[in-house]
Amino acid sequence: MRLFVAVLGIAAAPLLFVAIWGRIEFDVEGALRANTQHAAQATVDLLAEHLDAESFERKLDDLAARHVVNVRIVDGQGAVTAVSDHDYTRDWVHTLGTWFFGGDDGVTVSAFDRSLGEMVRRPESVAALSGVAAVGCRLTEGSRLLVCHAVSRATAVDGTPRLVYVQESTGRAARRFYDLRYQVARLSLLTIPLAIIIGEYLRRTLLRPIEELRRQALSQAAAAEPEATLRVPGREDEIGDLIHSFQALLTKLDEKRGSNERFMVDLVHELKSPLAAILVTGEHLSTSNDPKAARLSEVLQSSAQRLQALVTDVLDLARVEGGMHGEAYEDLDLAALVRAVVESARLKVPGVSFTVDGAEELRLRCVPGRVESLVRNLVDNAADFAEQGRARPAVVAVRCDREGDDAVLTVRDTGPGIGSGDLFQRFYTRRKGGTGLGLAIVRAVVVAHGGDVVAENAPGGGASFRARIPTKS
Amino acid sequence: MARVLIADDDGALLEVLRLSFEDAGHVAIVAEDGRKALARIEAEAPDLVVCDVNMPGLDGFSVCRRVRERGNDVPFILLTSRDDEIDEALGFELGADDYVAKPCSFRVLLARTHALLRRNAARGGAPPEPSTGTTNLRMLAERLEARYRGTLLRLTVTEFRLLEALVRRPGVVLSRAQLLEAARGGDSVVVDRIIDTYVRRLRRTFEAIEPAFSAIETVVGVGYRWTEP
Repeated sequence: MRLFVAVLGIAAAPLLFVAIWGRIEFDVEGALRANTQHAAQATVDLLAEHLDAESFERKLDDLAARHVVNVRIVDGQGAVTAVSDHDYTRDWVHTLGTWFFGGDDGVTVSAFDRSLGEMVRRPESVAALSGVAAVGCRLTEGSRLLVCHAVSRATAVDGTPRLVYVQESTGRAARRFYDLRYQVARLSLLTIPLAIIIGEYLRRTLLRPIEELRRQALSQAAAAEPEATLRVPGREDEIGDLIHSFQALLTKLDEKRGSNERFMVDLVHELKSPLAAILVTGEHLSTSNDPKAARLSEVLQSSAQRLQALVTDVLDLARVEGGMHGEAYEDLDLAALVRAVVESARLKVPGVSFTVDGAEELRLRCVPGRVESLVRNLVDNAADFAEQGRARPAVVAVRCDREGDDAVLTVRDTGPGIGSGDLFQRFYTRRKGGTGLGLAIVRAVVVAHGGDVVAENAPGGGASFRARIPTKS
Repeated sequence: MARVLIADDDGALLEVLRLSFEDAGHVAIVAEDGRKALARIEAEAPDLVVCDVNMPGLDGFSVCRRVRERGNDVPFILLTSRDDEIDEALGFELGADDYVAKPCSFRVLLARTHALLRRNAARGGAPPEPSTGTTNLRMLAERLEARYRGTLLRLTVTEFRLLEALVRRPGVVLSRAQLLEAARGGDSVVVDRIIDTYVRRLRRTFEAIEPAFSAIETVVGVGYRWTEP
């Protein structure tokens, strides 16, 4: 609503201005006629007053100045008894105006007036003397100037007749007109700062909330934060509505995410009982004396175990991709974690030699359990491929370094290296017995912490994984 | 030979568990839901209960609680299938002795069963020599009993094993994986972060006796160690 009023105001102002301007311009002649007529009438009234010569002259002068006209009073013999010619005074504003708008020189009223002949002989004077007040206008040669006159017959205090001849030209009217323009110019001195203020107001009230909304909506969407709330001040206009819509959208997304996660958890949960039954059945059969049954029980058990690993990984992946809802960020020493993970990998894969380099201590704000699974997945993956590779000794080189505000973990192996294709895709695996979700979990964990991970062939053979995580969450 | 009551709403699992327990030389009594389990525990007085948490009607937690409310201290093992159930299953407020996460191997379940049966049997006789311990802590492995400054600690089997592993090698940092191996044996599904939950519970148990207790030290990112002064 506020926006509507503001836009309307801005749009309406020039229209209003043009309308007024047009009215003034269209009515130049009418205004001239009216002005001269008023001046003539005022002079007639003035003549009827009992005044001494001095105050009469002063009052006449005032009158001429007020109407910006040339007033002449002629007696019965055609002699001019009083003259008061008032043009606008030229000051620096007019000089500036002439420079800015262009001058109006060339034709003067006095020259034109002289060309009209003796004043009392003119048709309007004749008409006035016969008792009809005459008002009219003439165009000068080339139509450059419109000169209007009002002529009235008057009677002086002493009873002698007088002729009042009032003249005004468009030149003079134009002056009045210019004055209006100066007023407009002066007004714009006020309106320009006002426009700046309004602009700033709009920026604050419109653009800033929109910018803030955009920023927050993007960051919330990126982080997939649970119960995401937009912290934009509540408002009751269109922007407010927009904020509410975004909020509603985020809430819906959050609900959807929540229900997806619940579904995953339920699904995994439901799978566990039948899985347990299969596992125990396999175990039970393995005690059989029939060698075929024992062999089949192995298949049953290993399949059940794979299924179990898969189910666990799928749940982990869903949770991490869902934004690790309800998992707390803590301080973690990545270097110590890497050493511990490598230590346990040494025990599991004795055929591979491990090296750990880089920072002695690397503090990281993260979800420790998830980062641990990230490190474990990368190290286990590398150990597997190093073992598969032909290079001897099989080596896995792990290092973690601080690079600016990031912690960078690099895991290199002497395995066969990586082929084409997205290694981080789900169910992409070349490992035996893997679920194909290990690297997908790695990427999900890194992304959930605001980092990235890349895999490439290391110079000299083998694969190299590089995970980068901001140290501050 | 012991009389084991097994309660689970999954018929197939119930059947294969019954067969396995029978093969292991025990008498298996089965119940398909919580209410039946409660009734059979009353009627048949088993030596041990293996009960699924998630059952329609009366769940495993409620069965356990009611059994304890009636003053029955039969060894009680819960079968959990959600991570968030483990936390509650571990709670002493509930009164369960141990839990096994589904899907479990029967070997693990049987090992737990035997440990609890042994403990119950040992409680009858004279107190044996402490198997391990420190100045203030005495642990009796046979009975799964620990006393700190003379006060009996109420520990689950898992907590006991975990504490035992820490105390046996004082000052040495044990990783979560090592602690898990010590505490849970071949119970592979449990994520090693669950160790944090165990340790939190252990600390709380000790703090109930000695508020300033700090002998279990966290080594961030690696694991825990026992550092009793």
